[in-house]
Amino acid sequence: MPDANFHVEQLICNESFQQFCLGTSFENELLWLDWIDKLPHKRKEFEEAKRLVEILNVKQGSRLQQLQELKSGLQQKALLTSAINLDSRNKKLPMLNKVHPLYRYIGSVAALILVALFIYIYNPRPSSTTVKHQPKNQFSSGTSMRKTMVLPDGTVITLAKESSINLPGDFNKNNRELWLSGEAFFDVKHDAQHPFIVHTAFNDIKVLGTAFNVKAYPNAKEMETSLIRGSIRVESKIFSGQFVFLKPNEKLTTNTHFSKDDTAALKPFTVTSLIKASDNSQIQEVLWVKNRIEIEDEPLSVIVKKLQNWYGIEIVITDATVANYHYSGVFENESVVKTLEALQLSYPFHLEVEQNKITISK
Amino acid sequence: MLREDHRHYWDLMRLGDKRALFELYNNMYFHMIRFGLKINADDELVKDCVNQVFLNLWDKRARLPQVENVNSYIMTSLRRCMLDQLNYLNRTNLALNQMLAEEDVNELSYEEILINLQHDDDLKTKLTVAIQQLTPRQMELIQLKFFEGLSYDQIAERTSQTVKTAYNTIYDAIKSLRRLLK
Repeated sequence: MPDANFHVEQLICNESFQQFCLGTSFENELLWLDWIDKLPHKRKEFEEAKRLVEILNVKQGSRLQQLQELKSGLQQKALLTSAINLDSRNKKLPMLNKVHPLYRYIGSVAALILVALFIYIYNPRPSSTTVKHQPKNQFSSGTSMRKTMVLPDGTVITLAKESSINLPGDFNKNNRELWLSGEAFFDVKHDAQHPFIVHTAFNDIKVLGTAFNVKAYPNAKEMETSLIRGSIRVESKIFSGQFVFLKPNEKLTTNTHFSKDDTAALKPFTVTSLIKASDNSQIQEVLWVKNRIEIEDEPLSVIVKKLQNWYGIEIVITDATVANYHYSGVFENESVVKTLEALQLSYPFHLEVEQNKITISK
Repeated sequence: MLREDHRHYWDLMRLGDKRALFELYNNMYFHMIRFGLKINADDELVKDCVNQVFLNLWDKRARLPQVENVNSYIMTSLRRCMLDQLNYLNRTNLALNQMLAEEDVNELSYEEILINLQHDDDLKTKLTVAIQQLTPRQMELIQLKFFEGLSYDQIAERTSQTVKTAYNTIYDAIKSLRRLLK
C-alpha cells in the first residue's frame, strides 16, 4: 500500500489497486476501502485514480458486482420458473415452448429488477425503525392542463392532464424511483451514482441525468418515450430482457396491445426520430410543456403569474423589491426552474424550490 | 491445465453444481468482457450479454452436451447473444452482421474501444489527443497492463525487459495521460 502522501500516478500503477478497480476479490475490496477511509483528505485523488484506471481498462466493470447480479438473476429466474409452472397448471401456456427467445431473456430483466431492489434494500436509511410498508405519495394533475412539482433530488416533473406519479415514501437523493401513469416531462437532476428510474405499465426507464417526455396512459394503444437531452435506457416489462438505448431526439414507441402470439410479426419497440413541427421547428412531443414567454420590460410579479398558470405550480415572491424587478427577453424552456434560473442571471434573486411551491426572495 | 479445469467445472455444472457455474464465471469474466468489447464497444451491452450467457447455461444445464473446448463454446454463445441483441436494436445492418458472424471477426483495436466507449465528447477528444502523445511502446504496455490485465512480471517477460523498466514506462505514460485528460 502506498503511504499517505501518494501521487495519483503511483496509485494508478499499483497492481493491487488495479485489481481493486476490477473487483477481483472481496479481500482486496475491503482492504482498499478501509485504507481510503483512513485518509479522507485524499478521497479526491483516490477517485481520480479509480476513474483513470476505469477509462484505461475500458470499463471492464467489477467482477464482484457482476457476479452478484448473476446470482440475483438466477434466484429471480428460479422464482419466475416456479411461478410459470404454477400458472400453467391452471391454464395451459403452450406458447412458452414455441417462443423461447422471449423466455430466454426473462432472466436478465429479473436481474435488473433485483439490482434495483438490491440498491433499494442496501441504501442506508436515516432511521432504523422504518415501517415495512412505506406510504406512497401520489400526485395527480386531475383536469388541469399541467402540474409541476420538484422532487427532493432536484428533479423537475411536469404532469400533463389526467396523469399521476406515485413516489415511494422513502424517495430521496439515493433512491430515485417512481411510477408514472399518463404523460409527463422529466428534467432529471444528474447523478451518475444514483440512477433515476421511471416505472410504467409497459417499460421501465433508467436515467442518469436527462430531459425526456413519457406518454403512458393506461388505455392507450401505444406508449411513447421521447428523449430531448442525455441518454436513457428503456426496458420492456412484457418482453423481459429487451432494452433500448435512446439517443437525443429519438422517440421510442411501444405497442401496448401486443399479444405474445404474434411475436414474429411485430416488434414491441420502434425507434424513430423526433419530428419537428414544420412551422416553428419545435419538437412536437414536448410542445405541450414547452412554454415560450416573451417579456417586454415586465415586473417579476407578472412574469411569475404567467409561469404559475402555465406550469401549474405555486410561485410566491416574499420580497416587494424583488417582485418589482423588471425583465425583458424571450424564454423557451420545458422546465419552470430553468426559466427562473435564466431570469436570475440578469437580476439575481434567491430561489427556494419545494415539492409544490417555489419561493422567490431577496 | 485451465482447459481441463473448465471441462471439470462444466461437467459439475451440468449435474447441477451452482458453485461450478460461478467458478467458470470468475475464470471467464474478463476474457469474455474483452472479447465482447472487441465486437462492440458498449460495455453495458457486453456485461448484460455475459450474464445472459450464464443464465442460459444454468437454465439449460441438464440438456447441455459434453464439450471438449468449454472456452470456445462460451465465447461463441457470447458472440451469438451480442449479435442477437445488436440485430434487435437495429444497430448493425445485415452485411455487417454476416461479416461479424464469420470466423475471423473484424475486431476493434484497444484504441478504438478506448475512444468509442466514452459518451462524453470532450473526453473523447482529449483521449484521442492524449493517446497520440504516447510512444508505440508506451501504448503497447498500457494495453497489456490495463486491457489484458497482465502483471508487471508477465509484461517484463513478454517484452523482454526488466520489471523496473516496464513499470517506469507505464508510470511515465500515466503521468502524461493524466496531464492531458485534466
